[in-house]
Amino acid sequence: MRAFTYERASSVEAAAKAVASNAETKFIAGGTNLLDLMKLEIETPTHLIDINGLGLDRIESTPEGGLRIGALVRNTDLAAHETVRRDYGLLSRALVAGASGQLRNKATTAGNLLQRTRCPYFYDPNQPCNKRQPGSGCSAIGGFSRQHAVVGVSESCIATHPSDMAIAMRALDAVIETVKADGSRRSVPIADFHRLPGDTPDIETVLERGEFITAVLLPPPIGGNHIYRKVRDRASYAFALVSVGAVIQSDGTGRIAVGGVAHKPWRIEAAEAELPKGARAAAGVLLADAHPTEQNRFKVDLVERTLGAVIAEARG
Amino acid sequence: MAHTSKVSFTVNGERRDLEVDNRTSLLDALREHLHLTGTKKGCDHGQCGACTVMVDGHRINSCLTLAVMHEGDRITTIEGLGQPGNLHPMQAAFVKHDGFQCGYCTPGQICSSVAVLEEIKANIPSHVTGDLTAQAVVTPVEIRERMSGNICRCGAYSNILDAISEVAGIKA
Amino acid sequence: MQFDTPATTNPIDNLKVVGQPIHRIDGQLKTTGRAMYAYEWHDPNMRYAYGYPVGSAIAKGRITSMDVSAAKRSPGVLAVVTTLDIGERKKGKFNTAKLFGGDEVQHYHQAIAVVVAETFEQARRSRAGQGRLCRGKGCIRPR
Repeated sequence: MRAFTYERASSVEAAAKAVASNAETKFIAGGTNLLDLMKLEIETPTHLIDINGLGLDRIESTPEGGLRIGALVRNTDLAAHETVRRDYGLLSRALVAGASGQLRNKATTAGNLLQRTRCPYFYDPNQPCNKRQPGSGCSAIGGFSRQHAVVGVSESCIATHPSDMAIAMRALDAVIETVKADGSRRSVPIADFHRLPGDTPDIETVLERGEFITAVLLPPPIGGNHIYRKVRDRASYAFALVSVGAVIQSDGTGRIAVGGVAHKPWRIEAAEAELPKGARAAAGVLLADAHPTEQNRFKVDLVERTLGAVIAEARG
Repeated sequence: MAHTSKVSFTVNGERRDLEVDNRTSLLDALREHLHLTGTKKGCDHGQCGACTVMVDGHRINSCLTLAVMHEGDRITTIEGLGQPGNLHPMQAAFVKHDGFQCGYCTPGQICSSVAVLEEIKANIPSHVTGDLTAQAVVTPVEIRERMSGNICRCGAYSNILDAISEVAGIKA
Repeated sequence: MQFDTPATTNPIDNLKVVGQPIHRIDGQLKTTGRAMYAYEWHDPNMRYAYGYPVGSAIAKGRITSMDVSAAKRSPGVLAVVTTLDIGERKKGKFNTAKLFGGDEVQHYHQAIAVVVAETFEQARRSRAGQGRLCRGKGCIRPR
């Protein structure tokens, strides 16, 4: 870990400006992903700005009937919140499917969105990785790729986004609210927040330098059956091979977002139109442009079967 | 600005003042600076749970947080839960049910299990919770799921479950 | 050991000792964090240094040279000991892999050096990238 200087942020604007003006300055919130990467020197900031004390840890109802979730709300607190459990159950389910109790107590909403892939080649500084070192190559393509992406991939990168929470937020049409270094604010629908790898897998979101996530906004609740089904090698404490986050209404229509298969939560509205026809039809559209490797080809079938199980569970 | 900082926090009821390299994890601050070696370093990457401590009543992995981030916090380590001759009920249960072999994961297991029972009381849901809108209950399945962040290479899991179940007042 | 005769009466299968939750003398020490493991002693009369291993960046091969000058100049570093500094050592009867020493790399991340510094953070930092700064022959990269 490189030596760094440390300060506690005095305001969102000051923190945003400081990060914008220095490429080696980073925010630290929960730190459960950042410190992991810093120990391995995959992230090497020389200045950290601690943003924990800025009061961004509240969950409030909005006048429209939705929910505004502060960026610094801990994962545990978000999953346990009464309104989330009652009206956005998918979000609770997705959150508690991830990590461990200790990690959920420290990890934050924004940090969860921004966490980086767990591709073992990204994590090994001895291995070529276009995400870590643009232009060096992708070790997973032609290497061990069982856990990697099957859609939205490129010749540069086949890594997945590891978050469960992001899958739920994608299905629930979350909007991410930010403040830029110049003080201007914007709202980014989560669908547009994470990028596909393309030629620049090192650029993972649309955030500009110093742009500070202040909150995530959920629209008013839509009812329905909220199901998060996570398929993994262990019963607990493992990332998804494939996960399906769904809200299914009593008439069989609904929304689905899939995890473990892409560089971002995978949701295609056209696939949802096929839901009443069943899992095969919906999965067919979802993964129409799938380009799996030999080792992760099983994920294509697994998505369809998991979706089938979710539909069956929703029917009761 | 320097690469070190002063920080003050309370550990097991006692205020401690430190000046540390900013890179110092809370775990290393406890073990190397305060010589409270009860909390253990297993993986140093938040995967094994041996470093579990309580901060302001919540269990966290102390290896994945910086000492300097905890100004003013109240920290409880395994040493603070109880001492030989004056054991916390959970510590006594681990002894009674032989919930350890080498003992290296044990402090983390005990801190976590105390926190698990409090999290259930506080109605925090888990992956295996059936009805999200109902009060969380203690069951063996819930204990197993909530303890999944603490691993034991010696494989003392069944006895750990027995110990926690006894303190929770249920059958394992 | 051949399991070809009945076990009959023996201490283990009788479950009189093995399998019983016997109170162990280390129980109170381990459950209260007072049991001292090997590297946890903090003798007030001694100054302690911290070592951090450097792992090989290749899976197989022979090291011909190592450049540890950057590590040696790193803040707080007291010494860098490389596998080349130590000649090849005889394996014990129960060792499978070779002991630290000599020029052969047998597996990925094999310890090929240890950095010793005044603090843990300094030792860890100084070894960054060192595994790649060695030259070898017949090197096989892991994939």
